[in-house]
This record gives sequence, structure tokens and C-alpha cells, in this order.
Amino acid sequence: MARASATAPSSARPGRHEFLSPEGLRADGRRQAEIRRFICKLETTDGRADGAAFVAQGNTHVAAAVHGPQDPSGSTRKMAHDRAIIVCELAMAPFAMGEWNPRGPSDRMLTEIAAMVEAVFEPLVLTHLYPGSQIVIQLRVAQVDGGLRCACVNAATLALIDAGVAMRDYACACTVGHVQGTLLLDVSAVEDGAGAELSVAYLPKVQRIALTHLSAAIPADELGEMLDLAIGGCKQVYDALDGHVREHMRLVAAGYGGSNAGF
Amino acid sequence: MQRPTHEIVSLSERAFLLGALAEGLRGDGRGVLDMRPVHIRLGPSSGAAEATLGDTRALARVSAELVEPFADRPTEGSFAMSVELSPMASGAFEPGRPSPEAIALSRVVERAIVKSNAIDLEALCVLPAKHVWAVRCDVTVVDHCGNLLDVCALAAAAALRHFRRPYVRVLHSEQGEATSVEVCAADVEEPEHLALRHMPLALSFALIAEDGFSTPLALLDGSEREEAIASGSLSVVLNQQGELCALHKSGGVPVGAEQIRECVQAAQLKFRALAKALDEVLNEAKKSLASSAPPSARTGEAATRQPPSR
Amino acid sequence: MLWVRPPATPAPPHAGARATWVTPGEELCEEVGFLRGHGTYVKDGMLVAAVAGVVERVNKLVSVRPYNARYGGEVGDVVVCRVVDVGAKRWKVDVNARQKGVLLLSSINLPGGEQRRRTAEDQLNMRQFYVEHDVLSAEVQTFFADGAMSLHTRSLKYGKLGCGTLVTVAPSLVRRAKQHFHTFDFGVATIFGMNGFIWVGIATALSPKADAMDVGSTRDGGIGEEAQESDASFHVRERTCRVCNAIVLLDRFFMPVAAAPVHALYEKSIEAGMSPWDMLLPENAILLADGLRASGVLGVRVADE
Repeated sequence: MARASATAPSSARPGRHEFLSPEGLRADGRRQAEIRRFICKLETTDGRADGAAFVAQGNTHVAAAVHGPQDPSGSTRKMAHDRAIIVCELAMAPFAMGEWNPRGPSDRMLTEIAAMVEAVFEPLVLTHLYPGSQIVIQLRVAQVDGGLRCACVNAATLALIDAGVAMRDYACACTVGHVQGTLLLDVSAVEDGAGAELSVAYLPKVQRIALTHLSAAIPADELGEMLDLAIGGCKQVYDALDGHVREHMRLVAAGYGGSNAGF
Repeated sequence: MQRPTHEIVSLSERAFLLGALAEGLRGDGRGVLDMRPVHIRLGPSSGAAEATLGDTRALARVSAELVEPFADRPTEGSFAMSVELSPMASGAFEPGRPSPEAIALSRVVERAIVKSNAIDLEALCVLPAKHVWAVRCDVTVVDHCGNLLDVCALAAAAALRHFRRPYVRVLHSEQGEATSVEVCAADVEEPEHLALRHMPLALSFALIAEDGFSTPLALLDGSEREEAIASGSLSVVLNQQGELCALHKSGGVPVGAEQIRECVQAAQLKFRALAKALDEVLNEAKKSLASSAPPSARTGEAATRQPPSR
Repeated sequence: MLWVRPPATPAPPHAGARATWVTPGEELCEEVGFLRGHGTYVKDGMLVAAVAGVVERVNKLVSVRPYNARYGGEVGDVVVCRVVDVGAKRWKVDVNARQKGVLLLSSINLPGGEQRRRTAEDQLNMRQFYVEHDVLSAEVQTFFADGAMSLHTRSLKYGKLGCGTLVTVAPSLVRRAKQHFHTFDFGVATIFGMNGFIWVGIATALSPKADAMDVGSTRDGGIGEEAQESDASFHVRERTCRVCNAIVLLDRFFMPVAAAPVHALYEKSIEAGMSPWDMLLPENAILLADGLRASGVLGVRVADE
């Protein structure tokens, strides 16, 4: 789990308007290619969901719950006879982004991100194994500090694994920022606001990219380097996610499983 | 990826199209990186444009009004975009509130234009904290035959570059303070173009994978049928300055990093042709405007106040 | 919600722990020479895990059993289900699975154990047998083409359940055993449905056994159905409550749900002097769970892993 460097002297940190100090440290003490503190929890017996998980990337907190594969009776979406349909519902707390802003279910940003999560997992989940059913992914965002789409994808991945839904691979996501000419891995909201953020979701075993999202303009010839850095970040995220899943399974086998594993 | 398409492709037709693609042939005979013919028409009024890619057609309309600025941004105007998928474009579209697809389309184009600072919002300020221009671009898709994003972006770009807002005169009091503004009619004072730093254009690829997961083939400017059998899409938004304004791959079949780079390179090549076509149409319009413009008292000033160079 | 801190030193691996734990995307073996089982898929000629769980190899069949999954069902499973809909010659039941289960009119026992063809009158009187919200025990008979389960209650031990309560646990915690119907000696009977629905009810002297063909008065066999609510004394209800809470604890700690662990927890909670409600308090729950692990009652399952 990457940790912000607590021993870096504050004089080595960047000044007010720069994001990478000459010593190579960012505002929160991280290095250029270091991801934020990554916490993930599998909450197998939390409530009535088939699978549940929680992901915290820095200060971005997202909880996910998966119901299904289940009867599609409650859904307005049309059932597919030969596969499962994936439905994502995203809700954000009104205090999540700092300023009080209650977003209803028809909020444009939330519908866009929910559609994106569905599209990421639709080819990844082996939907043909569950014909005529639906898999509902519920995401609840408590706090946002940059990298919202990535945290949503990571949380959904863990929750789907916890629910025992068959998938081809993990979907691990991380952001890369292009701020004042430098590339920074896993940007916070402040760093994102000063430049452009590229969110990438990567499938580590399949070794392909499932999602890219650019929030502002970057020089086109820097795309290659940004993708490489982002993939490196996604691999770090994969190590954290996979490590936690294995630890959770070990605890489950020993009788310490359920919502208690992962502290 | 769920795209709104009324085109229901039968299993045998799907197999035929996939087989043809394996040989490098597209349904309509194009090459993998060939675009359909592009037509741009600028409307009679300024700020109206129609763009066509093959049979896909979209109309864009830009309008501006003077409003009060946001309290935390007193010297900036605003820009908003909306995309409407008209039911006459396709049986898949229903009237009423915008579908998630329409919302996603308008957000991608809006983000590409706003977040890349294409429109100089500070130049829209008339009187700080009192009056600023709020510019809107409304795009309506009139015919859906595939690749809505590129056509909407093209129509919006044409309309924004064509649009001229009324000239605004700031009235000063005797002490020299600015007190109020006066919007001048077009025949009194020449309207002005928007201050645009650049104007991005979109190029989208339909990603076709036979089983929905293997390494896909990227087809530039997918037709409706190709989109119906596609498992995902990748949209690249570029501008003249060599910047990548958006790289939109919202889920769908995964692609390798190398393939993304190849698509961006192919898009950069095609962008030049598209931008050239747009420039030609805009220059034509400017010429015809200059030749038909009535002589005005401000001709001398008009000569000095040129539209900002792009 | 219980928050428990697992021990700092991990449990030592058991002698029989040859299990291989895998996560989605991990390669298992080459496809050639092996059969692809549940929880795997083929990629580039290799068998790859699709779920997080333990690898099971039976001869040439390679499959991955997820540590947690929705109930899939197999023919012959005993399940507890709830009627959701009364339809034409069939009932739709909730079996906690991917789709609603189906109980055909031809698959139930008629009153008095008659064996005859179902008539139109039977069809009109379906509500005499089961209505919405009835809970029954049944067995999985077969699967329809779309994956829906078809159940039957053609044995006197299956049927409508009364005078008890339903506890839901994760389906993967209920393992196949010789007997899913268990009557504790303190007067509480349970049915451990493979679908994660556990019925805990009051055992009466008239509880039909497998060989009691002449019970007679029941419409369709079932535990405690003959018992009236008024028969249940306070003490029997309290014991039922304690058994329910023991099952809830097993679910919370993700431990196998079976008669032995439930009985052990029951005994321990009485020894420790806890009331059924106190059992659920975090500090008591930890105590009971630790005691259960230490006692080795779970030993059989853990060595499996």
C-alpha cells in the first residue's frame, strides 16, 4: 500500500503555485509516480447484498454493493434472453464534493458515470452464464478528491468478486495528471483542477485498457507516456486489490471471514 | 456497449459483416480508415450550421444573451451545450427528457470545448460583475446513420466559428464610470465573432470484436450498421494546436495501449482534412459576407477590428 | 454490524491444506487434456479462473468454487422457499437464486397422500394448498431450459412450514449433508436449506418422520404445522430464538452453518449465561466465536480448505 511520505521536510514540499517541488515532492509529500493511500475492504456479510466492498483512494471514498445475478423484475431495462444485463446505480452524498450539492438520480454526471461503469463491466463479466437475469451494481460515493471514476471502477470490481460473479479479469483504475508540464500519478482534486486528468481502467491479466477519460486538453504527443504511467499505477492498484482478496479468502477459510476481514 | 440504434442486425447479416471485415472490407466498401463524405452548410443566420457525415445529419444553433455572471467568477461569461436526439432521427429516440446517451454525447463535446478553453470566457465579459455573455450551443440530431459524436462536434464547431454576437457599447457616466451597456443592432454596428483560441473536432472509431472481447478492429466513422455490431467505441477529439482535447473510451471492449496510440495517430491525419473542409466553408461565408456588407460608418474600425485569428 | 479484529498471528495452515486459492484472471492450467468446470473460462488455450475461490480438481474436471456466490442449485438439493405468485398450474417461489423457482401443481402431494391426476378443480383450488407468502420446504427436481429451478414436495417430509421463523444466511455456508432436517433435543427443529434459507421451528411429537406415512391430518407434510401457535410456551420460543441467533452469528462470522456448530453455540451461550439477545452483542459474539473455533467443531470444514 503506497503511503504518503511522512518524513519529507515541509521545505522540500512544493510552494503555493507549483505542484512538484524541485526535490521531487508533491503537496501531500508523495513522489511523482506514487499512488495515494489505498484502502479496500470486502464486506461479504454486510446487509443483504450478494457482494459488498469499500475503496478509499486518498480521500475519495466509494462503497459498492452487488445484487445478483437476480430476477430482472424490478428493472425498467429490457431483459436479454441469452445473457445477464448489468445495471449500475450511482448516488453521491450531497457533501461529497465539498460544497453542499444534492444530486438527484437524474443528475447528468451521475448518469454518465453509471453508464460508464456498466459499459466497463459488460464485456468483462461472463454474462452468458446468467441468461435472463440482471446484475445490479450500487455505488455510493461519500467523498470525492479526484479520481472518482477510478474509485467507482475499483469498488465495483471488488464487489463483483465478493458476489462470486464470474469475470475474466480485474478492472483496476488509476488517474494520471498533466499539471504544469509534469506528469503526476493519482492526482487529487487540487492537482486535477490545475491541469488535465486522464483516468484509465486497465485489465492486468488481459493487458488491455477498458476505459480512458480525459478531463481537459493535453499535448497529443505526451499521450503515450501518460498511458504508460497510468498502466503502472493500475498495476499498483491491482496488487493492492488482489492482495486484499487473497487475505480475505484466507481469513474466511480460517473462520474469521464475513464483514470482519480486512482491518 | 448499449447504443441507441433502431438497426436490428440479424445474426446472418452480422456474421456476413464480420466475415467481410476479417478480409478488410467494410459494408459500404470503405477502407478501415476512410470517412464518409463531409458536408457543412452554414445557415442564413449567424451561428446556425448543419453538418453531414454520409447520411448522418445534425443542426447546431448558437445563441447568446447578456446575463449576470456567477458571484465567484465576475469576469467570465459562460458556455453551455445541449444535444438533442430528435425522434425524427431514429426510431430508437423518444421525445422527452434526454436519454443517458444524449447526455453522454453532449457532455463529451461540452467538456472538449470548455475544459480545453476553446472559448475565451473572459472575452465574454462586458461589464464585470454586471453583464456577461452566456453563450449556448444547441445541437439537434436530425438523421442518425452512425457516428453521432463526430457530426455533433462538427456542427457545433462550425456554428461557433460562424456565430457573431451583437456589438455592445458600454455607456459611461460623466465621471468616467461604466454605468450601463447598450446592445447595438446588426445594421448599426457590426456583430463580432466569438474569441476562440481553437476549435476541437471529434473523430470516432467503432470497435468491432467478433466475440465481444478479443482484440477489436477499429473502424473510423462507423455507420449505423457497424455500430450495431460494434462492442465499443473510441473517440478522439483534437485541435489545430496538436492538443488532445478528449480521449473518450467509455467501457466497451478493451483495447491495448498501442492500439490507442495508433488510433490517435490515424485521427491526427484525418483531422487535417476535416479541419480544412471546415475552414473552406467558413472562408467562403466570410467572403460572401464581406462582399455583401453595406457600407457603415464603422468601416474604418471594422478594418482594424479583425476577428481574432485562429 | 459486528466489528471484530482477527488475531495478529494468522491461524497455522492445517495439515490437509493443499488447497489452491485463485482470483479472477489467474491461469490454472492448459486447456488440452482438462475439462472446463464452473468458475473458469478459456483464454488462448489456457484455463483461467473467473471467480475468487478454491480450485477443485476431480479427475480431469477443473473448476473453481467461489468463497461466496449466489445459490445455483443442483438436482436433489433440499431448499426452503417462499411462495411469491400463484399462477396457472404452478406456483412461483423465491429460492434466493438467479431466477424464481417453479413449483408445478403436478409436483406436490395431495391431501391424504392421494395419487391421482390433477383435475381442473385442483387448478381452481390451488390457493387451498399454498398462497402467497407461505414458506415451504421442497427439493429441487430439475431445471428448465432458461435456468429456472423446478421443485417438488412429493415426500411427506416436505411441505408447508408453520410455527417457526426463517433465517437467511449466505448460501455458500450451507454444505451438503446427509440430513438437512434436524431436531435438537431441546424441542427445536431446523431445516438447513441449501439456498441459504434456514427454517427454525418448534418440534412437536407429531413432526412427521420419513417413515410416518399415516399422519393423516396434514394437508401436506411439514414440520410443526400441526402445532398451533398456542402450543408454544415461552421457553420453547426462547430456545428457538437462541438457535436463530446462533445461526445469525455463524453467518456474521462466515462460518459453516450446520447442526453441530449451531448446537455448540447454543450450549456455550447457555453456559456463559447469556440471554438470546446478549448473544448478539459484539463482545459476547467474539467470545462465542472464538470458543467455537477453539473447540474444533469447525475442524472438518477448515481442513477441507
